[in-house]
Amino acid sequence: MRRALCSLLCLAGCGGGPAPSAFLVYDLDPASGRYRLQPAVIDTLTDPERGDGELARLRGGGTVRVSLATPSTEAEWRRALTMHGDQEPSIRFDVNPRGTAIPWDLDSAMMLTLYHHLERAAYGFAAAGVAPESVRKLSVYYFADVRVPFLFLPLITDNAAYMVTLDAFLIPPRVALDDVPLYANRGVVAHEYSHAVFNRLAYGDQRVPPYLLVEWPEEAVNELRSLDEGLADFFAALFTGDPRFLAASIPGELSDKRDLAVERHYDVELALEVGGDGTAEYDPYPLGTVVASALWALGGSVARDELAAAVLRALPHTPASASFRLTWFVDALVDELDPSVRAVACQLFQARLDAVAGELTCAAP
Amino acid sequence: MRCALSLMVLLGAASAEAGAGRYAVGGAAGWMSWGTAYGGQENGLMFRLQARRQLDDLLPFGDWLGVGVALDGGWLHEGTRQLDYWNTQTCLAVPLGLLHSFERLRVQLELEPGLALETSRVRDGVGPARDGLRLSPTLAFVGGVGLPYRAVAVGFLHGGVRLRPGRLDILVLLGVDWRL
Repeated sequence: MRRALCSLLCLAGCGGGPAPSAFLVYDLDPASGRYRLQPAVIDTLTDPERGDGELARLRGGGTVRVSLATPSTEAEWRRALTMHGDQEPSIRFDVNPRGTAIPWDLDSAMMLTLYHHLERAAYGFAAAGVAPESVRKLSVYYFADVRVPFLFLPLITDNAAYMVTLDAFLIPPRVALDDVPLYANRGVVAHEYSHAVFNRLAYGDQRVPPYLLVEWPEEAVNELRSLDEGLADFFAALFTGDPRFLAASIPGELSDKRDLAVERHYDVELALEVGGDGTAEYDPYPLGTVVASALWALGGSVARDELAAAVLRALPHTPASASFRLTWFVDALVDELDPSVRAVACQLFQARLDAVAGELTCAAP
Repeated sequence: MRCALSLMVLLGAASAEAGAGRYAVGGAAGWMSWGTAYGGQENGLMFRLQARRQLDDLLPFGDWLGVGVALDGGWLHEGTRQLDYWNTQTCLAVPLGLLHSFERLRVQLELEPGLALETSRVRDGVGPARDGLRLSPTLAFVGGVGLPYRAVAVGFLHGGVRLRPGRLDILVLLGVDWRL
């Protein structure tokens, strides 16, 4: 009823203005290193008023209900999170004489920005060898609440996530963060898109990661999750050119801990956490940042676009099995690199992955 | 209030049978929850001035069939530390509906077709502000209750929904009506 009446008013009030050739989005300005509104072409957005395009379909509001049952089978995992009450967005903008769509309100601006950043991430991965068709069109739930039964407050705010079982991106409401919203941070969007790519390449497009269906040793699960997070941070930094991409949204300690420009090591202390923490308590980011910072450093010796392509070629050659070791990926990656840089790469990983360097089979000079 | 009185005079000028108690003017302020692009609501403020003329001689039931003019304005400020959005809407509407008294309690139900002048201003803290202006048709459904004291209905509470193209706003207002 509400939608019908709004649509009726739209007949008189929305008009059929000219199609925009560009959209004003909130994007990183490479010259200043700051986020600002700037015109950008969004090639794949076929229906801007509804946020629908070839790469993603934006949905507004709704609730992700978290089941209290403990899932074990794939079917149960797919039912662990269910989406309810989402709706088609209504993005408003004016088209100026230059053909640029100026978003009318904050959420219209943020939804267009989010789609733009997803498209740029998809283009980045396409350049590295993973076509958007292999990731396929994804749903993006903008400002959806995550709720569990008997808890009346939203479970997650101020975040962005790729939800494997729904194969969709979740953007919970922004509540506390006052800087660049995470969903407008180009690096964060690339990070989440990377999880969807990882899901395709590492898990053979299986949605539910294998370690959720069959019990694996904690070390294998923890290293695999860290690899997922590390590669996501690496691609985020690569596509933004900023190893501190998180700082625009969360300045301070958290972004310092994820700064890829800082040299980090997989040392004995970290190895104890990887091997000793249960998968539920384990924080995958410290080891992930070791991987990401090593790749970022390797970008000083190898062209970063070639490195990105090698990373994506290496993933399918890294079996996600119960005996998974992080070093399998590193060896596969070194094999995918140009022979002239393999020794340098191997040496760098041997130095950074101190705790497991003995497991590497690559040859350093 | 001056604006509302002017509107009332305009209405009165259109009637040759203007008499005591046939008019009401009022003002209200309160909360407007703005419909958003994602289908949610964001809280803003609004104010409202209105003038009505009773048409009871045309009415087979109830106390009043009211027709009038309402002018309201609301604004919404959203953003982050750097990005700043200001949206306003100024709506001129023609309330039309029933106003009925249940002893001390006065109740009204109105339909309000109108026209809203909407503005948008965004700043990103780096470049220039960007402004937008548009005219949109609106349709509101408003209900209200009040307790009159002599000619003044103090604490008149209005609530309702207003539809704009692609948006639904929720209004809750507290005001005063003065019957002339």
